[in-house]
Amino acid sequence: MTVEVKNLGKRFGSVVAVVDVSFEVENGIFVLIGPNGAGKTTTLRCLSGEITPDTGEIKIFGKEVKEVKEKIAVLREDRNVFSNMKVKDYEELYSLIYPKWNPVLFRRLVLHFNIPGDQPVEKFSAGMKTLFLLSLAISSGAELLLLDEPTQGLDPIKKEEVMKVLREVGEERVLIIASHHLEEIEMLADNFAIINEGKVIYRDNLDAAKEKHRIIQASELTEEDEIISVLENGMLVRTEREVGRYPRFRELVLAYIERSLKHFSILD
Amino acid sequence: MKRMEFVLKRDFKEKSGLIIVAFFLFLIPPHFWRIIVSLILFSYLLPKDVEDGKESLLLSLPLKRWEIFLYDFLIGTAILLIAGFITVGVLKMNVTSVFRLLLAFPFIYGISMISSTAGKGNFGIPLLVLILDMAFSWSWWRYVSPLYQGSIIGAVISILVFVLSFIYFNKEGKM
Repeated sequence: MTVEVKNLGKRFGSVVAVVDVSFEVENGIFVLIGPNGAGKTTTLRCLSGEITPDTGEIKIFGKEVKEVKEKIAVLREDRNVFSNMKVKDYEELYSLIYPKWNPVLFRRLVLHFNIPGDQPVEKFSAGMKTLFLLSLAISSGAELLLLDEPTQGLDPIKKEEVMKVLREVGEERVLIIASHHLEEIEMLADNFAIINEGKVIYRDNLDAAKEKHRIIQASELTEEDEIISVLENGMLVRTEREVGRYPRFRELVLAYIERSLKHFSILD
Repeated sequence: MKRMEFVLKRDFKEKSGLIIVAFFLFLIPPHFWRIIVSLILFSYLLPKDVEDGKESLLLSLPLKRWEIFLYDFLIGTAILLIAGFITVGVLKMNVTSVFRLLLAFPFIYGISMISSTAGKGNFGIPLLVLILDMAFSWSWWRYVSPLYQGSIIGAVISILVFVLSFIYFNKEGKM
């Protein structure tokens, strides 16, 4: 298993960020989905070794995170960058700490995304920073990429280009992406986990998840069906019966989040 | 070694102006002047990164917490030591003066790290400590002062603060 996360918990002072996150990733693209503040970014920060979880266990390539940091590259949500540095400065620095740094791929990505080499990176627009930092992460040669909102601040054309690049990268390496853009996730993900209020509330393979659920009308409900949530156009149920229609990914995610909010209890 | 080279190059690219100015100002001999210059340099290395939230940027790269703490201290120390030994060679100053400064560096870096890790800024509190230390330097304090380094006690306090600052930096990062 490439990544194993068991019962991860993390709090910052009195703020509980993650309560109970568990998932496994073997290969391909795994997406953590959830609303703002759900715990996606904290989970990625724990995975990158930037912060240490309070509880639970993380194994990456079967080892502790600190032992395999050279195999992990990160696109951070805050897009924080070093000052007074241009593209070539980053290239020089990254080549020192990533043993499998790929300069050819980096230059191809810089050209492809039209990243200006003559400006300090801190002066780039938000979208350009995303493209640049993503290019660094991909070119690092790391076998595990942790990408927080990889299409943040991008125009629709650049978003499409990035999605295409990520799909290609995901064929060779493991990607864990945190996002709340459901349409993009549906196009990218092999497997996913829905996080809300610091807990994983559902995880599955994308296609398998759709096959296990149906949108039905109240009149079609039987005792065999597990109601997940009532939606505007019917109800989402988990069932093995051939009934109703398959849910769209958006419906599936929203229904599970809705259910987790309804079932909220201080005793959980 | 490559990770140390990363930290060194990053410091020189991001903070070259500060490093050059500190280097030349350190060539001016009086002990407390050099302490002030050391404070400026050390507080604007890792403590400033902690203040700006950039240490988390470093930690998201293949760098460990102890590495960024120790390497930045060694880099600052090396820069100032080179300047210090130039004054020994050119101005024929006593080598002991440089070693007294060397023993004060862990205290300066440590105080600045504790202050910035606690969210109290990288410069203000260390400067206050420095002023208080100078204010009492006429008294018995001079013999235990970690900045004046009048006896072995000063050296012990300096190293103790350095170790405590590392423990605190490590602990806070895990929160």
